[in-house]
Amino acid sequence: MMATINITVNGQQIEREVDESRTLAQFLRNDLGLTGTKIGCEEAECGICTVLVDGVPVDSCVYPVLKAQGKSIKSVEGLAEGETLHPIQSSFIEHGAVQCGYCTPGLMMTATALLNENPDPSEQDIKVALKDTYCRCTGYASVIRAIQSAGRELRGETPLPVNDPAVSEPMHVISRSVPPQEVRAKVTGQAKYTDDITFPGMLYARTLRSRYPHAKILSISTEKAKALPGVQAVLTHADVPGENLHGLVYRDWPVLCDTVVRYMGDAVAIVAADTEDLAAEALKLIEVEYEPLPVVADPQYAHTAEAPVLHPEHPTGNLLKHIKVRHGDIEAGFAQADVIIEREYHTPTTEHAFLEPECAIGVPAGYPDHDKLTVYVGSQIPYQDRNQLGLALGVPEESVRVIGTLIGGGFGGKEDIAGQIHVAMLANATGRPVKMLYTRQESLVFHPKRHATTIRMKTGATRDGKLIAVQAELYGDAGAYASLSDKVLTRATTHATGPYAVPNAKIDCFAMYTNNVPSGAFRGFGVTQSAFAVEQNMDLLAAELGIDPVQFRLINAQKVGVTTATGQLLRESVGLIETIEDAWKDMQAHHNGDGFRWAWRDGHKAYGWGIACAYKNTGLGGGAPDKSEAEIEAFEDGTVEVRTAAADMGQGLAHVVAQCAAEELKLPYEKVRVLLCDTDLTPNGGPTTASRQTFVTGNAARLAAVALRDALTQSAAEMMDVPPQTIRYEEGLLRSNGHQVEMGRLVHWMKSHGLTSRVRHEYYAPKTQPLGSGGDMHFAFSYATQSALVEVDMETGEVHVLKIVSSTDIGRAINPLMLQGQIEGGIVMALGHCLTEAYIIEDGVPWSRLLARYKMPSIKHAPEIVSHLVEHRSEAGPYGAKGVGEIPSINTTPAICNAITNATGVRIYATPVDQDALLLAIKNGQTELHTAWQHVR
Amino acid sequence: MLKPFVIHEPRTPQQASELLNEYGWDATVYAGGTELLVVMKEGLASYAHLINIKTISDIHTIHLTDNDAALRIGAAVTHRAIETSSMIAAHAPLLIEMERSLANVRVRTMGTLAGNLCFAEPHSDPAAVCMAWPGASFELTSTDGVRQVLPDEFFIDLFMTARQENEIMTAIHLPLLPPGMGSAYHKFVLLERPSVSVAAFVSVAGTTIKSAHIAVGSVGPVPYRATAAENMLLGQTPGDEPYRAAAEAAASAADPVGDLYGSVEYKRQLIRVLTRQALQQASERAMGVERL
Repeated sequence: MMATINITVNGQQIEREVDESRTLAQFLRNDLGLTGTKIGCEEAECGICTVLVDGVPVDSCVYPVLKAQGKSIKSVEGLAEGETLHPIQSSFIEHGAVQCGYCTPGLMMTATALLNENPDPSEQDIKVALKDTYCRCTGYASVIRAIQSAGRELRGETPLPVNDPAVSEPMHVISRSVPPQEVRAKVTGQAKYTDDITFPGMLYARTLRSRYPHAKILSISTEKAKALPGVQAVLTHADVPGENLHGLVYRDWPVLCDTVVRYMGDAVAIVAADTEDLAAEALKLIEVEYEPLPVVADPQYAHTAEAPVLHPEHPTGNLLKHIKVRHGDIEAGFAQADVIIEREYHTPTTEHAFLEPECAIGVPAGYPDHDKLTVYVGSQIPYQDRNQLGLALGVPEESVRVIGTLIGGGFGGKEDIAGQIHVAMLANATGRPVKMLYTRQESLVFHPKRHATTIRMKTGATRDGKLIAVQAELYGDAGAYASLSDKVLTRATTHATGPYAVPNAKIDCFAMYTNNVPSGAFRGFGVTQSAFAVEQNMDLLAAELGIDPVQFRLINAQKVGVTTATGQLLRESVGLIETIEDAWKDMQAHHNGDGFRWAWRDGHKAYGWGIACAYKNTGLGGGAPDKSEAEIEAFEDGTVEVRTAAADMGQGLAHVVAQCAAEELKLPYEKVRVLLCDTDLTPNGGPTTASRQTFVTGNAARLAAVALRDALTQSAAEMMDVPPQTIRYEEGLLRSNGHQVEMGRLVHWMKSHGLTSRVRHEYYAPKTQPLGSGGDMHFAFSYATQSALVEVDMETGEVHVLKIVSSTDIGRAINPLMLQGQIEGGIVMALGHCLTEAYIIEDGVPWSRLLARYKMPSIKHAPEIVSHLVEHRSEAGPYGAKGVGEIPSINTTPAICNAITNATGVRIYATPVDQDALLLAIKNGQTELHTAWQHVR
Repeated sequence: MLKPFVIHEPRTPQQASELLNEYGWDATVYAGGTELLVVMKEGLASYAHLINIKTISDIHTIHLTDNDAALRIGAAVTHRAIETSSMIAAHAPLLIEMERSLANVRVRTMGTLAGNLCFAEPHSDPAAVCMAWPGASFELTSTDGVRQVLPDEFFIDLFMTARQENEIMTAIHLPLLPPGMGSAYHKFVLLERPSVSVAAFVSVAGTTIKSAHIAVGSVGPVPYRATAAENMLLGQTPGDEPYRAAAEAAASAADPVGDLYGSVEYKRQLIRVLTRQALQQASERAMGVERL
């Protein structure tokens, strides 16, 4: 039923006819076009849709707009006064509290309500107020600081100083904490993510997914759905014009299933209709007859002869890939070992929970302003999307254009195809733009997750504390389709010695197909799992040998001159020892000269420190050509634009390339714009994966800027009639002995002389070798050490992480503050994996299909983080930089687990840590805990 | 996705009751909507008619009643209004402690105490507190009249209360604690809602416990009173030993099920720990070590 609503929105009186069941979020976004308010879950769980109604924060996704009758609404768009930002907005920018920006409006609105009531909140007050307002990027530390700083500003005091980490040798713009690109749009609600874009005449699409984890499809009937008025297209496998398969490494994933479904997220049919409700209604009218098949739910079972084979065309059956590392002589190695530790570890499937669910829009060729079939999507790999679109549609890929929008978090979960092909098919079929937004619940069931693993790890050392041999066997649950399992589990395997010198190694990993949700890329890319086993075996060995865990790591730490288990001689940029020393210094400093203790008791609270190290490759490696191309153009207004199709999902690639360009041209940072991810306008920057973009696309941008500088120099020399080598760049001016010209004027001169001020550079990263052939498997590694201080309640088993001390060798910090944000965010994400997160799936049926059933760390879990940067320059990296995206998420879990062991005497062999089982183990005097939270059920 | 619905705006409890009579199963009472809209969105419930009781005028206040011996909290009063009420701070500070830790600020600004009680979610914080609160009662109103229901009669099963189809809860009555009585509420939270919660009210005269009210929430379909534990404490001197014994009794009285909130044995252990802590704090407060 329609009703008239009279409300004030951001100070403006509004009267509208609305449907009574419309939510406030829908009203703001769809009726008023105020898309700054984001929707993350539709379950009142995540808090990012928070707006203020008469000053109080509400979840606008479950607030019927009619309830706001006569009231005053404030959304993120109403925070600023004209051009002047509200202190909460400016301090979020200042303190680096904005990464992907998708949760930012919800955080800021909740914080505004708090500050209106209490302009001087303590950290505890902020944690109470922002409870259940999720952010998956920042780790909350910068958010807390930004809120406190804004409070001071509102009280008329000076804002808090920025917690900018110490770095060496800041340059013109490099190693300076400039604000990220588009940050102002993100804090004012103007930033456009895919679901914020609409087109006149646009249709809404939904996907019919499988009813079973494994079944034969006997028939599909779409007649009734097609007959529903308002339904414009219903498509099945029969309508896929090209190859009905996609996949980044193996093309094994049907665009729309024809004869068989292999997991609950499989797509069987797609619908486009006039409204979302109609599309949802139409799904119910599609009749699919299935014959359920036996479910393969366990990777080890999948490897047995009796397990049904899920991909008969795959030459090795359910074994997607057997990955091997062989180094030295394993038998001889263990024969020399004085102490051997062998243990089995389990890690669960985990979910990225990026706060922006997948969304794609297809616009048909010929639609106004669209010459080509165009897909708008927040994707980590736009060019690969285009390639897969071309193959599925049976057209040359150049006939399709992919435009990357802002991404509300990815963490590896937005590398595979989601709705890209479906919206393109529906746009072609209907001749109209079609948007497909996944619900949170659908996203949970559909997209590839982190691999669940079983890891058997045997580590041997000699009496003097030297590692001598590592043998490991890993089983990884690849799920129904290959996705990136091959690459991810290769990384788990090659990093399974840990960042240590290990002369003999034999590591086998079995990537297995099952009927579970596919597993793919997720920050840490397999190394997270093996590090859990490696670093706990390290502590076990240290104890057995009677050597201090810090000392034991220092003895074995990789350094220049060491050869890794894949046969790579490390020749530079190995800062691990310094990171261990940093962490150790801070652990001691925590005790203020009272003498460091690994563990102590205070009443029924047990405290313990734990330490763990990590390393992670930068770049694709393994012989894959790793390249990126960037274009740069200088304009007559004195600005330059850098163009590359490399995704910024919040990690900050955009400011990295802008800083590289500004550095080479000695331009003010504000003079550089960045255009990302448009396959028609930007050259290919390659996938945003493997912590590679700073290194590879950073270099592409840097070298493009160098080439532009050469061109500008030549022209300026000619224009001013001075020798080119005398020309100096200074803040947008080119100077030579008393002569000078503004860059914009020079560009004007060049154009009038038929010269171009636009250049491209294709950068190839140093060549790497495939696994098994020795040599450089990777061109750089980042290193880290983290120490965790935990408090365990010996009456309840509850674990609190009080503090994380972190030191990370990233070669060089291009943007210290934003880089620190990557580290803090990575740590809190990993803390979730250690203590709270497990994606539960039973016999192929996900139980975790609501966000309410997936426990992410909230602000109340955020520990104190002390972060140091170590800068061992990488020669080929831009200004010496290496990757940072993944390294912080790798060793947090084992550091916490080692701390728990030190505090309680119980070692953790399965995550997430279950307080219930931990308490029981403590009480029974057990020293091993093999039960994780999800096993209790 | 929300199915279409109509929102009705009655002005009196009687009008609300009439609407409930008229639409029957197709209608439900709607206050904060923090639970209702979520279950409707998830398709677990579907109503064509929502009776918005926030438009009823005289259920929005918190005031003293019964010659200033009790608090009357109107059914439309939100958690947040209780959390920030000076009246509550002065007369029932335990409620502020409870509210401050309930769900999150958005749920508290929208959700009402009465709505929480009527929804009867097994992990409800207020249910456990009200169950233990000496003399607490709920006022239910319909076209048939007004009645007072005690908490242990009100909570029948999970998501099921003694409220009739045509009744709305109009108020919560909470007698003020007599001098010499202290209260405490302790809970253990792992997921969104408590795994176990314990509310305790203890009266101490001199060095003797005169009364004890203990309710354990979240472990069963409805909170239960740990009566054996309460009786054991009568006449005892406040101290760790009797509290441990009472906590043990409260734990044995539980009939938990094992789920993601914890195994059976773990929930018993949490009851032990939380009961002891709650009794300890309540008696300290009773003896004026800390006023609450």
